[in-house]
Amino acid sequence: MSSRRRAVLGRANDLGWQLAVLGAFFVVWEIVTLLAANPYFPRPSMIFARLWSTWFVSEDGLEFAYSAETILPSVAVSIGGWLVAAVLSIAVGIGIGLSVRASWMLLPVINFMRSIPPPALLPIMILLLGFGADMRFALVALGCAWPILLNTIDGVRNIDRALLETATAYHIPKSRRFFRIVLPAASPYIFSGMRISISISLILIVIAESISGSEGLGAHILTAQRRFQILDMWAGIAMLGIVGYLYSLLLIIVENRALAWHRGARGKSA
Amino acid sequence: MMYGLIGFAALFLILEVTGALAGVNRLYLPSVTESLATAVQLVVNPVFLANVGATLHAWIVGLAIAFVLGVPLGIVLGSWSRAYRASTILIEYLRPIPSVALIPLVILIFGTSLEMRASLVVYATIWPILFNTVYGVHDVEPLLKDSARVFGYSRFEILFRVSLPSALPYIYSGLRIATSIGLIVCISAELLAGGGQGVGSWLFNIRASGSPAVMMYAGTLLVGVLGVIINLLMEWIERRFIGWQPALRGSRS
Repeated sequence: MSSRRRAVLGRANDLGWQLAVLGAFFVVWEIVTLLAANPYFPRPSMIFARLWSTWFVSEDGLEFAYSAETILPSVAVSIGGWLVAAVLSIAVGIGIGLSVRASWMLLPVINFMRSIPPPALLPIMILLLGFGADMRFALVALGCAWPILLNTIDGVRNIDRALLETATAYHIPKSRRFFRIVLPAASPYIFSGMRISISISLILIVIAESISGSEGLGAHILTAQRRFQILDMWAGIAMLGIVGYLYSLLLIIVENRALAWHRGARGKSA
Repeated sequence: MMYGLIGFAALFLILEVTGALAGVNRLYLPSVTESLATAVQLVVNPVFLANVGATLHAWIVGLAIAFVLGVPLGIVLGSWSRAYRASTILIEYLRPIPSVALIPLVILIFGTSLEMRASLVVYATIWPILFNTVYGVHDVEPLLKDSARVFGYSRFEILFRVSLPSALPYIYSGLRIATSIGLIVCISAELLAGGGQGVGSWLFNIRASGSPAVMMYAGTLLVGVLGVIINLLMEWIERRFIGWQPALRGSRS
């Protein structure tokens, strides 16, 4: 058997194994909830049927309107806040990281800000901005900023000094040095900060929406709970799980593309 | 250390001066001096302290349960390679579900009690503990285990004298991630529950109870201080008890 064919078969085998494990999980879940017959824990088959009819296709046709009302605001605000936090934090973080004195001065301050559990900022955000989308956006951006900022500073400070000194010795212009040395060298750190932040963004958007209660998946889940619509609540939780899974998938794809050179370079030297 | 103090002082000055010059509404944005003074008063305020205590209680109980469940399970999954493969698949699919999504469900079942918050902390913190234990036990240098086997160690001796010590830094870093996630989830649950105990409810109810907004800023500041203290404590324990392990030294979550 050619090695290539074996690799393909291996991957197929892996996928089969994954599906088998997931299938077993759902079967066990179904049986346990069937036997327990607890009203708070409906069967997964019912949950996913409700999920399908709420957000995709129901008897009345396609459910685009409801998806646009719930999924869209959650995704737009959380991803938007995360991106704005990333752009600002990377820019500020590189500035701080390049100066030894600035990073010594500001790291304790940033570490303190990061130690405040982000949801604790919610009452202040509501006080200042009310319950609208701008409050949720600001909360997400603020909560996401610290891990990216800290990691960017770390990344810049850990750049091999020899690289920067070589660049100086060869009179490589500042802008070129920035885009060809500083940014690439810090990027693995930056991505790891962004990965931490994207899960924070989802947590924060859900809490903020649950409290403001007007739109988004968080509001859907909390409203269903208040009305004792257990199945709708579970469908919302499952939908949120899917969104969370897509987020991490998205980040892995972006990271693999952006950091492919990094792994390649390390693989060769090892 | 010196530079850090300069940083805090500079921030303080900037906030005070810009606040005074811009003439912001002090009802919404109290001055730093005022917030700090209120924070000092809050530190000895019995109601505030009782709420902080309630949060820490749920946090500790939840973390302890997650640790007691997560580590043995992680050891089993990590040392049995079939289970390891199956578990990593499940973990990969289950982990993205944000634990806060479960808050409404748990409030429905447990109300605003300690059990509600503690069980959420368990759900949220068991993942990093479990995952790091599985990873740490699975990743033990095979040479070490083989050598131990050659020297006639039994499976249990290998587990307790080789695998666990070398997995300890991984387990500990899982626990460190868990401590901060646990606090986030605990405070979120308290915010959403509204009533009940905990520093999250306390913060959320300031406005409803008609107290001045400066209390909110002071309380948030103190929650940050709490986070710093927990972090320092965890770092100290790491240095004191597992500093001998070079494997993960300097790694951060």
